[in-house]
Amino acid sequence: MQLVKQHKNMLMIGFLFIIVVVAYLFLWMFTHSYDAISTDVFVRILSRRSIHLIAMMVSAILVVLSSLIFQTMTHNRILTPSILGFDSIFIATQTMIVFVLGNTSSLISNPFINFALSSITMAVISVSLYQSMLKKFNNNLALMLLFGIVIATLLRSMVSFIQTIMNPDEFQSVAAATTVTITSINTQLVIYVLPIMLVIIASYVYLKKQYDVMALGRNHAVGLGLNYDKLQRISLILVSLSLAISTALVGPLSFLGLMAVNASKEFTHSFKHGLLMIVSSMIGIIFLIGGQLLVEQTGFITSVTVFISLFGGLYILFLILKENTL
Amino acid sequence: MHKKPLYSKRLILIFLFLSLFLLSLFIGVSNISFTDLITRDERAWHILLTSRLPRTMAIILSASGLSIAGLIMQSIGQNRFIAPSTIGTTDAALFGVLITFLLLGSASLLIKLSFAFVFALLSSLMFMTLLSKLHFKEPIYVPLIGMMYGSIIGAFTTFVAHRYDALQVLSSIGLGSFTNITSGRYELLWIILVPLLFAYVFSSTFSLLRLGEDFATNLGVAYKKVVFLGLVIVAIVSAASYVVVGPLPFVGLVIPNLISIYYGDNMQKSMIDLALFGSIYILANDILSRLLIFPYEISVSFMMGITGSILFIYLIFRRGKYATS
Repeated sequence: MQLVKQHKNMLMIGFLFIIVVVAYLFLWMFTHSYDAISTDVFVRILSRRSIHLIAMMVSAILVVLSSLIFQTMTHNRILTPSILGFDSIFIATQTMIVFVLGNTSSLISNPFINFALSSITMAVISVSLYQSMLKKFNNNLALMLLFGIVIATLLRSMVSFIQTIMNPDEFQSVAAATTVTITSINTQLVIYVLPIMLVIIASYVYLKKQYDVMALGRNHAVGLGLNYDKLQRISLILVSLSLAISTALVGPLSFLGLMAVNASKEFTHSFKHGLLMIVSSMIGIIFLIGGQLLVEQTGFITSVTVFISLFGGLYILFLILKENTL
Repeated sequence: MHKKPLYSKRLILIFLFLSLFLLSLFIGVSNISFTDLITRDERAWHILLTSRLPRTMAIILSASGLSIAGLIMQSIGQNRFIAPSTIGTTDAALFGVLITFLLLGSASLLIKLSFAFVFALLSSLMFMTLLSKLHFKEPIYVPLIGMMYGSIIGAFTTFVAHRYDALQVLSSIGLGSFTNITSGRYELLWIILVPLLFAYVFSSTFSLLRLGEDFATNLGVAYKKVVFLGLVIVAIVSAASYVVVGPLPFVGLVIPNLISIYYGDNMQKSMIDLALFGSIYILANDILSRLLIFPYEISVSFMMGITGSILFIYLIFRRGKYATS
């Protein structure tokens, strides 16, 4: 019985996934009344939309998988990496680069170099910070979490302080680098970064069985022969890289991961990371692209990020209330 | 037995408070000295009465109000990490201000305050109901849910503001600062004294709330009514300070925690210390924010974000299991 229901759910998700993708690529033809559209324009619009589609899909997958792994590491269902301040670390890195090196530096003007530098800095900062914290707090996640929240506030205050004493030109370039939205995706960057993103996704998939063991808890996992600390370190690096890349591409999407991972656990009733990865990625993509479509069709009443935090947040609260325990 | 150290600690607090109070009166771009005041220099007195004194009073009022509101909220929620800023009360107040702007345009402070108050009260009532329906394995999850709740309200606020082209209004009230406080612009803050008086009268009852609903009811507390009264107090204080000054992070969270480390949880005894310590904290931050890039000023909420985080990290390191009590 359970299995049949599970298959039905999976089929429905796959079906929705295809609908959303096709709709994103072709719906504009019917809602915008073009009298006669030349094949040239058609191809141009279509190729632009496909690049956006790919960028959104890959970013959604990265956000969702990093949330999934983070939740496995922390043995908790309502955490996202952004609660630990990963988003603020990204913004702080960008601000510091501009502040220290100036906005004419090639580190800022060349998107690829900037991107490489900021993701590496972010990975180094978050790994050194949280690795030492995990040791210091004896893997007490509650404390680490609080620490992360405070670090996020601290960084945000410092960033606002630096931004107020910056000159307006520098401020503009920081703002341009940190307030990305889906409608302003840097298409050139997508092509460069795509291979890196695929490598990261592949490593998540490669490690899926180890994560199944990790989910059992530290003691059991170590007993079963898992190098827990090493896996934790690798995962922290992967998570921070994923977030750096997706934030740089499409902006912060913290609730998306939370929502998709919880929804997939709700639908599949499974704890296998292989299955969870596929289902949660598909759900994440459905929400992101569906949200974007909705925003486009309603004439941009709001940004998709606001849309996702509104509905994602409500959904999570609903889930928590339903389960009645945390 | 322990009375003597307690009083000497309080004396230190009073001494610190008075010296910061005087410092705050005399620091600023335009120079006034003590001799000016004695010789009845008209300009010096004018500056003192229209700018420096209102600013300092605004700091003291909002600081004592927020610290005590934080303690009341922590008693109601039986959790040390609850404060108006961590469970969405300030987000709701912001939403209230936005609604005032959309319905009435530029309204008077009093109207803004009443809207902010209504929304803050509704939001904290909703959150406390939510909290009473859930069972938490670890107290740390309460502020997590609170922040999630706050960010939903925040997202909704952004949505409405974006819809009606009022995003700029949001960013202009999102910064806390005492810079614009002059006489005529802060008097509304005196309203905080009313809820504080109530807080003092009912302080021992609020302390009992920490024992939980069943226990408190057994001890003769009209639980629901007291909780409601507490939430009204918190909502008035946070709405008033939000409308007049802007967000002041960490005060409601850090100050009650630090005080309870040294003085315990007896609210009746520690209320004065709370007010003193809260005022000292914001006064020191405000003076720093005036001096760091003199003659310009940094927004005090940045300053407090930085010092508050450092204090909070100290708290976390100091007591691992502290939150549970």
